[in-house]
Amino acid sequence: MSRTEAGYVAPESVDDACAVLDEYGYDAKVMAGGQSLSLLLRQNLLDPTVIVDISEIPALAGITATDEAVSIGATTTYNELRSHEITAEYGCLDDAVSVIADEQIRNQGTIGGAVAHADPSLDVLPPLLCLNSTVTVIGPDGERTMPFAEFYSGYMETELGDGEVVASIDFDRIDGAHGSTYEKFANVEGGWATVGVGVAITLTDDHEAIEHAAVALSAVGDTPIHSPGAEAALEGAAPVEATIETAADAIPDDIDPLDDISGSAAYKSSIAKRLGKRNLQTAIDRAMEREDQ
Amino acid sequence: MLEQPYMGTEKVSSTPRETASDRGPSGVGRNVSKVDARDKLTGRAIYGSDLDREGLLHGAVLRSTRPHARVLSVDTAGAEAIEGVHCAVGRTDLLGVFDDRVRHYGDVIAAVCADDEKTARRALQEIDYELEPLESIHDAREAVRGNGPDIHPNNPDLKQDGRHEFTVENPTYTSNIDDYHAYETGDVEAGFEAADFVLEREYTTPRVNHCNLDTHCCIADWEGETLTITETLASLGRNQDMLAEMFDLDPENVEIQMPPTLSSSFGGRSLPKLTLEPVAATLAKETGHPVKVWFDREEDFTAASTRHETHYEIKLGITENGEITALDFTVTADTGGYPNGVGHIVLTNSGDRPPELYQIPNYRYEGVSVFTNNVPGGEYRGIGSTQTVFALESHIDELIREAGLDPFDFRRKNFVRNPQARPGVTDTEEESGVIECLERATERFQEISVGETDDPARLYGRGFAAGVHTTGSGAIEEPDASDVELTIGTDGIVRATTASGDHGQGSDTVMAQIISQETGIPTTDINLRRFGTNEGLEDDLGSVASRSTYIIGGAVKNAAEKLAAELRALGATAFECDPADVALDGTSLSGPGGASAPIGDLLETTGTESITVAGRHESELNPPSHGVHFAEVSVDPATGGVELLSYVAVQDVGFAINPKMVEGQLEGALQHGIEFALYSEVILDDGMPQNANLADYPAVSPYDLPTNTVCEIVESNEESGPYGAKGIGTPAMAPIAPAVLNAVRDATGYRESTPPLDTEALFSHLEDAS
Repeated sequence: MSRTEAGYVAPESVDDACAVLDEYGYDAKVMAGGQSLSLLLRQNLLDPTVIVDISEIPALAGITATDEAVSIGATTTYNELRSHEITAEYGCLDDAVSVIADEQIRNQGTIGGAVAHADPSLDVLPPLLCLNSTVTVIGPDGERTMPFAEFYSGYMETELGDGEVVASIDFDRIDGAHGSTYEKFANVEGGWATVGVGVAITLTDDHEAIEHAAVALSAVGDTPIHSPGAEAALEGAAPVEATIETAADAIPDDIDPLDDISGSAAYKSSIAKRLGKRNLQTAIDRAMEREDQ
Repeated sequence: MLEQPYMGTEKVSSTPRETASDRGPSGVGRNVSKVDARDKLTGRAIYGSDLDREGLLHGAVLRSTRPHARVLSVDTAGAEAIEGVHCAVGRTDLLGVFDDRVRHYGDVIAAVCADDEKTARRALQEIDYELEPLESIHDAREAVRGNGPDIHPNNPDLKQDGRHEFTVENPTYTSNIDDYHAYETGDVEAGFEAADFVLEREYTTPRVNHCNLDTHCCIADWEGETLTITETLASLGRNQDMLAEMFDLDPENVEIQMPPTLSSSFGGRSLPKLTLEPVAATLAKETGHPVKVWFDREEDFTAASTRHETHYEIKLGITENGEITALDFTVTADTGGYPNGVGHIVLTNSGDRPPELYQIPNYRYEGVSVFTNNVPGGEYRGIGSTQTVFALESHIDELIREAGLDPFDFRRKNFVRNPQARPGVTDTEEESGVIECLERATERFQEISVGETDDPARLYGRGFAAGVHTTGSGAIEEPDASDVELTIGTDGIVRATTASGDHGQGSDTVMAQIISQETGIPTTDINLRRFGTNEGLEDDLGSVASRSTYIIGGAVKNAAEKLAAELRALGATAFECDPADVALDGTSLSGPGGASAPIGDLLETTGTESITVAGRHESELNPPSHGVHFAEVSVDPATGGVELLSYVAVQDVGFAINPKMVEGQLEGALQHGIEFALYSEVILDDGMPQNANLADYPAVSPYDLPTNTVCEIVESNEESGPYGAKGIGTPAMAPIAPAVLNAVRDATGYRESTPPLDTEALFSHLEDAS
């Protein structure tokens, strides 16, 4: 239990939430599940006057899947996403929400909370990047939608304006031979990612070439980041070991890990490459299997 | 996640007792449900941090963020001006042994007392102070050699428990000496000359923290000259004396009361903390109110205690036949900034364990505990032994690999079977049980081993280790003793007043089972209470050092036997028969010819009202408790990550009074053991903590434990223990880290000599090898 004595409000509409945020400005903190905010409060790194709990707002909740697109409401918890039927189609999302912290955190932590908190170590971010998601934010001036990558402006910095909250994360359904995965290495089960690698692959109909590839990583930069070098090596190439090798070798040049208590930058680069290689193979295998079904 | 069925515990009685007759479902040897489980699970249990008092105020501590500094000035006026603040006190005005220097991150500069905790913590920010930074030292081996500042004079008197005079025989050890132990048996140099293989290596063990769920919390209250401390504080007599010394009071003017439900300990609650009880006592004295000081998590990491970081230099010689010829064992333990008597225990246990486990004809031991500007070292489950057995069993594994010997034959040849008298260790006459542990563990491991995985990319290995630790503290000179009082009244309820502290390990249940065994009264009709100080009952150590069942349980058995005799006498009077013809029949007594009545009714009708008996047990012995554990791992060469696949823990407990709770002890130890081996360490950078919170410090969860685990109990029947029982909680720790890391060595060739496992070093080792 945190020993904060901040005020607490749980508005039931976005308008009410925005009004409180507008009134208190920096002295208000938004909480969805509390996965990250609780830690900061407990370590006395934040001392808000009021906590605005948005988890009761119906407009921010739930997952909507149509034939064309998937929309994940900001207050969707990891376990809600994990148990939704649509998630099984996107291995990278499924993998990521399975390795976040522990069951209690997965019951509390939310997708929107992770996206807004913008810690580059959070596991759910690379898969959302791989799926070419957009972020929709809502605030006093209405809604805005932007590509996932453009939402991040620096280390734990986002494009969220005053009084705005994340409303939803959306991505288009992917047809055809699609496969994706996410794997992290953490010191301890459910611990912070030392490095996490997400991969999404779409093969051509004849399986002869990679039509589209996304490679995105956690914990190796200021934000969750793509590896353009790996993606360039994959797109249009044959889904064979030599391609995978070339792509994985390109990852270290695109990332900027730090030396810290989880390991040296060189170690993290090596892991990124090795996990990248493994995950590319897994994603390609999944793409092939999916088409076979 | 539970892919494999949990394998559970099996119990093997090598030498079954004849005396422990079956007393029904709540006697000894049964899996009686924990007597405190319902209150804990339903949230009714009241812990120390839950307690309130009329007029209770709250304290907070301004802590140093420098590892070593002189406190030039403290101005508390700004804090005292805040509404709700009752007083603020600078370091040198605190009761106790405080001078003008802070000696570690988290040391106290000043303290504030206020109406509520938040106001107190906020007021800390309004204290003006000036620190003059001093050179600091963080490597114990440098500190002891004078290569840095003097943190204290050698063997300072800061009212610590267990302080004793010593002569330092090592001329290079000049400074910052907390304690020093050295002895030699046989001729070590001749032993090495006779050896065919000699291996010299160094090991350093991690500064792990207990991560007690409930952080440290103390309420201090003065009535006249008498100070009452209410806290989960295990060792009553020892702590009463130490606090009295510290505050310059007569021991009878220090009262220690335990909260209704105790917090977990694992050693973390054995002793006072320098910035907890003295701060609360000072603030209570200043304000005339009871004052609560409750550590937050960072304070628990930096101002409570951790396992001593301990350095080992080991030289071991063996013949080509695998006989040990000599062992040279040099130990340096990091005490941190202040003496607390635990350095002495680390050194005692570090020196005593090798010759308790192996026959070593020539043995030289030198141990020193050293002041540094690091966070405090303190008691932690298997003090010193956990570190020592890790180093020794890693070293032996490496040497017998080098010599090409069979590790099982080596153990069988060298294990101590009948422990012999040696310096500092008391003899016992019986078999240690270690051979049976080895044989059972080998067999069970063969049964449950999953073997090589079908993933060719992963590396597979297996390892094992033996371990030993004492029952009760081997580090005290006097015989260990404990008093007990049992009362039964007309309600038929037995009220047991003992020194047993149930920190979750289940000692209340064990005590109730022993009473039930002797009297026939079910555990549901037995209430346990811990006595406080000044109740006329003696016990120095409380529930520490795996002594609860052995010492306190012995006293309970003694009292329960007397109570049984009194009940028979009661029945004899009522039924007009011979006491021997009275049957103890659960909550009733029965006599010949079908006469039977509830005990409470009999007390009422005979006008006895209640029966009270006293019990006591004393022991000079500390029977060693052995275990042999096996681990099976797979390693991912892409990351250096290790997965523990299977685990077998076989432990000799003498006799299992409650086998299910023994299993709980083994599994809990496994959790702590793999933290030490694979994951956890309070990381310090020049004394500055880098991960003093539970987001960054990896405390393991049950997810990190293999479901493919077998715990097995060997019962060697310890003659000096109640029903043959000896300790389990601390001995269970010792073999775990070396078993796991020997398995990693088997899989990869990488020897981790400075746990927790450095996955990066392991990764690099594998890259270099390929």
